[in-house]
Amino acid sequence: MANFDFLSISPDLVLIAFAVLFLLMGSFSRTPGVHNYNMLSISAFSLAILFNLLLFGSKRFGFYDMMLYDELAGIFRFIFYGIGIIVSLMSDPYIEGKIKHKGEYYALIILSIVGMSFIATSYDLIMLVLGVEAMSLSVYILAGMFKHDEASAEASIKYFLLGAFSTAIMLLGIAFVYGTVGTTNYSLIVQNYNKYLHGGIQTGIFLFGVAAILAGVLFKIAAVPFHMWTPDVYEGAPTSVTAFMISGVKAASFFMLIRVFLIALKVAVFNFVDIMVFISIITMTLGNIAALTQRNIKRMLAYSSIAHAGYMLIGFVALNKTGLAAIVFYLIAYALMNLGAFAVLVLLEEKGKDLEHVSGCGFLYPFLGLMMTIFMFSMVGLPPTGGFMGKFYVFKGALEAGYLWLVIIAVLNSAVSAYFYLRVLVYMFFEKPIDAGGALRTSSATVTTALVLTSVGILFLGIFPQFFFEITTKYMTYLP
Amino acid sequence: MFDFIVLIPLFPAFGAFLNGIYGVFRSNWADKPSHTIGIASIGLAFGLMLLLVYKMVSVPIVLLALVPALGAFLAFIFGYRWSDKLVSIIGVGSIGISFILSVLAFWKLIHLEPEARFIEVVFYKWMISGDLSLDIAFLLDPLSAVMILVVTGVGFLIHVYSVGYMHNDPSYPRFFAYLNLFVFFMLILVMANNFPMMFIGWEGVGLCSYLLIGFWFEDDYNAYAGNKAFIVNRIGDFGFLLGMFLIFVTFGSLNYKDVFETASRVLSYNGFTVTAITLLLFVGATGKSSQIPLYVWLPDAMAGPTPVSALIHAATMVTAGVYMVARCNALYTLAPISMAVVATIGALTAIFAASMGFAQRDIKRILAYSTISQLGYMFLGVGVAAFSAGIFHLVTHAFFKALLFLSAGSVIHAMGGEQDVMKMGGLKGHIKKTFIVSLVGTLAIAGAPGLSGFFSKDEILWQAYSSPYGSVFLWAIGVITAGMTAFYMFRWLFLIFFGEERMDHETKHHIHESPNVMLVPLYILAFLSIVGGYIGIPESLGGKNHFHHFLEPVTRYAYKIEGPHYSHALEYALMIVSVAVAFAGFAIAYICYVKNPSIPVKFAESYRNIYRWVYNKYFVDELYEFLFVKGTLNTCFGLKAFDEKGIDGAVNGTGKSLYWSSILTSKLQTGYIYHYVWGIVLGLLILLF
Repeated sequence: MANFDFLSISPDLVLIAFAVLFLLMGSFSRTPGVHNYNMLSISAFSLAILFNLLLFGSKRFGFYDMMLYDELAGIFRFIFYGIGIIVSLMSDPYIEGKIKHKGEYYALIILSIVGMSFIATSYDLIMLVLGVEAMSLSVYILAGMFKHDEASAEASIKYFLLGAFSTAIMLLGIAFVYGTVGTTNYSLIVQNYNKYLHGGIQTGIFLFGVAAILAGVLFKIAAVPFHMWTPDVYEGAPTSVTAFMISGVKAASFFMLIRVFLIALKVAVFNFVDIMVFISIITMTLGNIAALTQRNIKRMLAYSSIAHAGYMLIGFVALNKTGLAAIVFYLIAYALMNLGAFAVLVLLEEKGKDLEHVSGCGFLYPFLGLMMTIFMFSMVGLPPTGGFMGKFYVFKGALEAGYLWLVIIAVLNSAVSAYFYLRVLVYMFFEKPIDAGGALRTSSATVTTALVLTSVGILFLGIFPQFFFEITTKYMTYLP
Repeated sequence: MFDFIVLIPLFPAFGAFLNGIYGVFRSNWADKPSHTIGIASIGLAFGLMLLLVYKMVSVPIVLLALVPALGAFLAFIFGYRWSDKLVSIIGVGSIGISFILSVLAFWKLIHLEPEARFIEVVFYKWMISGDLSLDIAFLLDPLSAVMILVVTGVGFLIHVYSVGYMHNDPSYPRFFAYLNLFVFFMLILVMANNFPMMFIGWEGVGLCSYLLIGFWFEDDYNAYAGNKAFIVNRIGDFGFLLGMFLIFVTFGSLNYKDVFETASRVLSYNGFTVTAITLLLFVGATGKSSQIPLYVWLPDAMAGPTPVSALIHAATMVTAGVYMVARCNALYTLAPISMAVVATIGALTAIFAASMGFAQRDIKRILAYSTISQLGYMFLGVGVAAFSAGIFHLVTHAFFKALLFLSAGSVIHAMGGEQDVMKMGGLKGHIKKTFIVSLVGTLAIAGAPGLSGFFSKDEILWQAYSSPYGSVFLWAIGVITAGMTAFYMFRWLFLIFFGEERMDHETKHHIHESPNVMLVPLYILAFLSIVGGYIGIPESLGGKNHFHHFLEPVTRYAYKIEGPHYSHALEYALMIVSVAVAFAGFAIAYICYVKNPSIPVKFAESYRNIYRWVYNKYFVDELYEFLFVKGTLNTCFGLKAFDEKGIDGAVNGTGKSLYWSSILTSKLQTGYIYHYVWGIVLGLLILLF
């Protein structure tokens, strides 16, 4: 069936066209500096959202059944494109003057999001790898975008090497799976597994392959012990890129986990529940404990992202509708609060990257202070923010599945996390400002827009959580 | 068709909201743009609120609510700046609209059959948790209809009066915001159809009284008085809360309807549970309605502005306890012990507080003790199962006590802030209008025949004698109190308005009558104090006792005991006795304070000890201070030491250990790629095994 359903990938086609346009503009335009790439990229994402909106609700197979566009994939496309808009909004004042050709930056962001979108619609392991690579390769470059910054270059090379290593493991796993069931198509994997594998060495090899794929996915998620790259890369990469990685790449990776393991590999997923419980516990515990002593805010947020990954894995461990839908809800809240927090950091970075450097900024710049308060409260998980409701739903799912003790550990963990999140606010509001860097350019209209969007979103998720949670529950059709 | 009663509490809430916002941001709104943005956002908030209400109730009522919104927007568009004038319009107007709606509700209610006069309007589902299902719902029945009329009606007059009384206060918007908020909570209290919602109102009025008593908080004493009121109320609330829990455990529901309908089946007459429930609820009532032993906050509460004293401590908040007992009549009548406790506490408070009123010098404190004493009467009434008599006295008392307080305010206004009655005297000629309304109020509270106080007080006394729960002792205490009331109230009147002028020259020069905005509410209240009693003329005097019959449906679930029947002749006799005693009180006051002012001085000198006891309110405050406050504080200090050493040590220890493990984990992060690769390999191995 050569069903070339270009309509189902029309949003991505739009994005690719814009990315190519950006690159060409760099080569042929005589005045590359004057173009409003961020506005162009926002319109690209808006167009993509529009196309996706038209598609939404349908279920389409395409391209020799290598792709399946369903509602959940549609939701994730919305998430990715939304992240793209907010990242575009907050990037411009930050990369101004630091990157020679801004078109490249936006083109890479767009291409990376196209990769994510391919992950979301993949229905074949080969397609999945293509998506992962498209996403990752763009991000490797983005991480090293500040060519004259040593930390940025180090982050890029570290991320690239380790990413390549993990992709190799993942490909190895795919080879094993192919070797045993003879296909890489999601539905055929399930069919053939039930038809041909009945215990014995064959099943063992299949499970080995699944484990290797899981390792690759967990690397992207930054679960312990695959997390080692995270602090270094997130700290070294340009702040706007870190925001993109921490929200976009994380969301895509979690969706990869859900999609691959609940559609293609659902036959094997129960073999890994126990080990996933263990990984989820050490992930959140290590993330939270290591974050306690960090002085650099970006590094602290990197560890915090590890901890959040641990919380979200609880939803995956629960393996029920509530838990899985809660992951999606959590991802939205998590992306919003991280994007918001990094948008504040983008502005404050002129002062410095450590806690001491933001001293007194809360009162100097009340708007930023208020915004940071909302985001940090959401990270701790205090009502009425989306972070609270996300945790609430995840824990609810785990409780329904009977993991009471896991929830207790998670709640204790979030109590620990209050220390380092609120410490940011302590520095911002209760410490005397230091005289460094002089006055701040805090009035960037685009960043302000991003801040308002994210904070309103966080509060909306916290106050009217049912609105999104009902949608995510309705479309969470992937169940083991 | 009764959906609109939802709006009755909402309007004061909105008034509080508007004025509160304006009060907070007033100083920042000096420039036009922020003023515009501020008003626009408030308009938006109002629009949202209307939208909410629109979803809840039927359409035409919402249109009614749109009228003031439209007015506000028009005023804004044509460049009207927000000022204190607008604050008064919003503050008074919102209560006024509530009052009109209340009258409408009342009007519609009395056109229903008496059995059908029980209307519940569900606003929205509040919470469902296990067996507990609660609505935010409002109840309109004869009892709550009477209460909302009193609250919004008297509240409205007091609001109008406040416009004049507070006119130069720097915190004018804040005052009206609090006042509206207070009315809102009071309406929630009386209109609730379940106990938790009543508790919200119960707590809310406590909070607002704290805010209002300490309104001039720059003065430490006022802040202290606010604290005292709040803390003493909290002690009572604790009892109320326990009673509520016990109701939930026993009935599995907290809705009035479920509880009262099934009360006689679920609970046994004179059983332990019902006695415990009713006594615990009554603890709450003693706090809110300032009965023995929790009455101590009310006299100090006079630190607030005078309209506050009138609103909180006469017309609304203190009556909450009486209302609650009357509302729970189905429970109380099942517990004769509790009834006896209520009646006895009521009678004792009445006489005890009256005696304390003898020697006070502060114009408002005397009234405060009289309020406590009159509340004692009301509890005496409901305690002998004469619920309608208790509520009747509540209504008439709201009229004449508001009148007295506001007159006192007018006197204070005239005297330039002086509150000591010993420094007044002879004001009759200076402020004649205030004098006349004060005289009406005093006559009404003393029970002069024909005025409102006479009817309600005599009904209580008669019931105290004739009801199956009553006794001759309760009646005797009531009658003696009536005499004492007449005495100290006329003492109050004579000291202020008669005799020689004891103020200094400077003050005397400045005495002036209050403006009309203060006087008109006084006239209306005086009128009501005179005629208010005619809604409940007893049958023995040829009346029909409409009030009693109107409230009858409320007591339909009450446990009824047949009492002995008495002749009208006995009722006349008792009536004559009480009037005679009251007249004696008046006569003694006249002799002591007008004819021969040296008598009280001589009395105080020859019985120095008794005078000191009475003047110092029997040292009850000091006793409480010694017994409870000190004890509590000492326990607190002990616990604080334990907390600092034991608990903080454990907590900090946990924190420190986490901190050290954090440093250890950070060491894992070496920065070498081959170490990281080992991490991945390790993870893969974990997954494989």
